[in-house]
Amino acid sequence: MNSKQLLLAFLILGIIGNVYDILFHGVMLGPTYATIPSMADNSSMNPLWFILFDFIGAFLFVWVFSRMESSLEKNPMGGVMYGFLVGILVTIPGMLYEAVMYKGFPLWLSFAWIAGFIIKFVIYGAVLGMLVRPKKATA
Amino acid sequence: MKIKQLLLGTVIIGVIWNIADFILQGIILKSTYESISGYVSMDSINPVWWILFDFIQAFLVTWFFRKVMSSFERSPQGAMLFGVFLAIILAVPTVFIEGITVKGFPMWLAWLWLVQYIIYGAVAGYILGMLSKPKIATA
Repeated sequence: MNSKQLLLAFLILGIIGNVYDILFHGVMLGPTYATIPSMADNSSMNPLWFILFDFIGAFLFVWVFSRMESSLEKNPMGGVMYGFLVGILVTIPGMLYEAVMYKGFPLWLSFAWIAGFIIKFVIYGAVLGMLVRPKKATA
Repeated sequence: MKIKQLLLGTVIIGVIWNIADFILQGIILKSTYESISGYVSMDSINPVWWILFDFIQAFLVTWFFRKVMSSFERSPQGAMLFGVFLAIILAVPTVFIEGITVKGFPMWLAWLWLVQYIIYGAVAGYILGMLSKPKIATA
């Protein structure tokens, strides 16, 4: 994976991650977050942090892939496998801590986060796999 | 890496992380957690959860290592690098999101968790490297 691919993948995944999170956390789960007493009020958070965090997360996803790519297939399926593995590692048991530690945090939300994050990373992986796929030689 | 090594890695890493978490989270940081308004009282949480979560994470890290170990030098130092990469992708940006979204969560704790992840990852990697190191033939 060359630096051009790394940069392109980082930008594309950062944008995808932001759109995904607006829909998943902002639209779908936003009303639920407002009912959880341990979570800070949405209006008190600067949305720029979430945009920045998605770009940082996208960069790390791509950078770690670049360090492990010799073990992975360089195609969308290889990327999906990487995304799935990372998704499981990031969410289990990490997302279950919330249900144990946060005041008023419903267990179903932990499972929704696990599913949501795994789907997000699988999408990341599929896109990354497309970007790093070796080009076929033309006749 | 064989199944036996997978199980051995899980057990060794799980035990080390449990001891470290007992000291760090259970003793040193306990009063900090008690002061975070978004968290439930630590005494109300069944400690079996913490033990179980550490072993689940140890299993997943070892399992992931099996999938990508060919990308790293087959030595404790090579696997330590794997552990550090994994720790970074697991901790960033997750721990900082916690700092923003949980009521009363101090940002210095997010940084401490990041350092903790990296140390735990390096230790896990070192152990996995020891377990997967090729045996030198004896005369």
